[in-house]
Formats: sequence, structure tokens, C-alpha cells
Amino acid sequence: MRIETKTEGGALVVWLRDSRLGADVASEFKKEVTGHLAPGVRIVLLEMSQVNFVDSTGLGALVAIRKQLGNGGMLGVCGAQQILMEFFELTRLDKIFQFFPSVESGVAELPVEGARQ
Amino acid sequence: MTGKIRAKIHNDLGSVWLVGVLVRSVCAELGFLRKETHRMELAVVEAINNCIQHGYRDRQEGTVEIEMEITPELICLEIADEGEAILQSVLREAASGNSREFAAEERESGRGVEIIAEVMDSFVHLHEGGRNVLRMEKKRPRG
Repeated sequence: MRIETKTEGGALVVWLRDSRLGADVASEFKKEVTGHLAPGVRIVLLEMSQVNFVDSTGLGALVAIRKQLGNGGMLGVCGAQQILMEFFELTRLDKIFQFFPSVESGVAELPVEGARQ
Repeated sequence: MTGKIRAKIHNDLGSVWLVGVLVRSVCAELGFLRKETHRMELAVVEAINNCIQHGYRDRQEGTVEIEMEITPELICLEIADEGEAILQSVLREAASGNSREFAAEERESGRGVEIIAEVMDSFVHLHEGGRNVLRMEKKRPRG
């Protein structure tokens, strides 16, 4: 799973560069993202505009990352295609993550105080 | 259009996407809407992932066989493996609809069978002679 990361506004921003987040790469993806989490960072923005398929194991990786951020943390999904939004709705997890049209809009809405401990 | 195709992949999560793309292509050709096409791909991927992740677990050997039959009314998919059988209790719970709320709790796993139950019109799991077969059916779009 190819990803790029950057810290912005106290959040870790992750760009997913592959089209699928499936069971074959989910574990590696989770390790990569959590490995980039600096101490105190409790917000992750995932840019997923290139992703057109996520299975339940990939979803489990997202949930695990969200849990690692702890209470008050946030995992924001940015730029998700409509087909992905339908997947989040199917699994009822559209209530757990936050969604933004783009990374820029996600960063703009960051609760700055909450981004750092 | 009717027909039947069989495919076989090794016990390897990295190969599952190939079957997903096959199912997606066939469903699109049959006139499923994009949303349903995606869901069909997802259900089949989940079924095969279950074979590999739970049936074969850490085993290196083994294959997963996929048969897709298109009848005038249905698309029938059979996913077969020779790994450990999935617990019947898990299937019963998923089929009953009790678990279809997908629980708002932040579970990291255990959604595969629920997705299959949500997407397919029917599914049944058979365990015969050391072989597991998951048979799933979905009505074709009208017209």
C-alpha cells in the first residue's frame, strides 16, 4: 500500500495512493499509519480520493487507527468517492468517522485545540 | 445472457481482487446498478477472505474455487475451500438479521458474513467431505 504522509495543523494527513484497501494490505497500512503518528497527535485525515474499494478488513484497519487516537481523537476521511461513501453507509460506520470533501476542507475545520494534547 | 465460469486462486489474499474484478465486470454487464455491482464485488471478496483468513488461517497450502453461474433469473456464486469450517452459529446470527445493524461499536473484524447477508438474496453454507461451500444467490436486474 503506497501512502504519503504530512503533519499539518497538528493532524497527520495520509494520502492513499492505491485504489484498493483490502485484506492483503490492511495490516501493513495500519502499521504504516500508526508508525507515523507523532506523540500527542490525535487527529488523522485520510485522503482517499483514489480508493475505489475497501473490504471489511481494510475497514477494520481504519477502525483500529481511530481507536488508537483515543477519546477525543478523530479520523477524518477526505475526498471519498460516492462508491466508498455507500460502503461506509452499508457498514453503518459513516457515524464513526468524519467526512470532508478534501484535505483542505478537513484541515480548515480542525479543532486546533483538540489536535494537540 | 446465461453461462457459467469457474476460477481457482491460491490461498493468497493478494489474489482475491482478481475475482472481485471478474464479478464486478459480469454484474455490470448484466445491468446491475453501480452501487449493487460494487456490493456484489464486496460480498464475494468477503467470502473469499473468510476462506483464507479463517478457513486456512496460517496454512500455506490450499486453494479457493469460485463458480459463477448466470441463469435467466439469478446470479449464483459458489465459493469452496478445504479449510476449517466457519462456525454455524456465526452464519445463523448473520442470516437472522440480528447483526445487520453492524453495531455502532468500533469492531475491527467480524463484518464479512454480515455484509454477505446484507447484499445477497440468500446464502447457504455446506460442509461436506472436508470441503466448505458457500452458495450465494442474487436476483438479476429486470429488463
